[in-house]
Amino acid sequence: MGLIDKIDVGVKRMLLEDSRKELFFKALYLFVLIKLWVSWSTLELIIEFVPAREYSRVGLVLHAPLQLITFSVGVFVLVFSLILLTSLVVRLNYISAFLIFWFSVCLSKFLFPVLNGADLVLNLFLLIGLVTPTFPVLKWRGIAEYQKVISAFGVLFVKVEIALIYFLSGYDKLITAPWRNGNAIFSIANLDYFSNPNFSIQLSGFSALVVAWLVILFEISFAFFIWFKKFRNYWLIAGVVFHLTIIVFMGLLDFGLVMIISYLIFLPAKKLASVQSS
Amino acid sequence: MMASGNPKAMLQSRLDRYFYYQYVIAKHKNPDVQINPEFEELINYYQRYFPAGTDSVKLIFVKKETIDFAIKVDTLYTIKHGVD
Repeated sequence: MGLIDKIDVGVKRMLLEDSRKELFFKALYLFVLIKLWVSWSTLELIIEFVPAREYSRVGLVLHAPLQLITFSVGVFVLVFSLILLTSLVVRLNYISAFLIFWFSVCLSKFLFPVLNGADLVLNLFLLIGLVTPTFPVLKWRGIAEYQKVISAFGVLFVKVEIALIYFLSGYDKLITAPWRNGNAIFSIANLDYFSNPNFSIQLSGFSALVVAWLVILFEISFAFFIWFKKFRNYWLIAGVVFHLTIIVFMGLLDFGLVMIISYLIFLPAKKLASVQSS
Repeated sequence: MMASGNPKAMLQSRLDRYFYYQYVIAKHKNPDVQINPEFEELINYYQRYFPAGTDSVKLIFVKKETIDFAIKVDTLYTIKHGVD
């Protein structure tokens, strides 16, 4: 079998893999809900000191939910919470996926002064989440079959995105001298604003070097080994440990949680359907 | 704020840092102007942390660098400011 055929079979296998997308997206919705409640007091401060401004009518339409914040932060939190709570109990569907993405993007625009990578990753997943539901079924000219195919590609895109996040992060570290000599880990351990005084440690030059290379190797290898069922669980466990370490030592709670939640998409819901039988 | 481990406080500490950076960036662009709009905004925001009855504050802006496994801390600016 040629390489192209192998890749073809591999992609088909991935598309047929019935992932736990429902669990993945609902976990994301729950994360957004908790983040919304945690951000409430910060939202009040932002509206007082750096309120978001719209400079065009298009912006006003695109960010219409922000009008609710301008009216009252409490009303925005209440409306968004209701959307999220409803979405948690009903089946994954296009309407709630769209509303959550829309409100989340608007919230990110408003929370601009306190945004970090977690918000960008979250919104990217929610964007892909627009095409992953297969409900309501569109019974028009056999479009339902396309819904399933598009949904399967959506799930595959989420997986590819996660792999790319790690690969690009690992590659960027690999070509950066302070990461190759461990100085970056030493710097991170001494960051004042990404630290947890309850768990701070002082690393020697050698241990910083070892940690730096472990991070580089983990991130680059994750992008490859995650596609093989045989190795997948080991890399997912390593990833959970990696992000829990970041949460504990750096206090980057939201980023760690988003990445750990993203692993749910790699958990198969049931046994793989046979490519041949399809 | 970060030390509390409270997610709400950690998020708010990012907002604290935002105002700090807004001032440092503006000051870097115009080094001669000490009191700029960003500084007024910073003071306005940080007033929530000032103890009651405070008549003046001293703000110290520091730069911390780690080069070759050594930490270097320099004071960028020190500003004494009266509080209304």
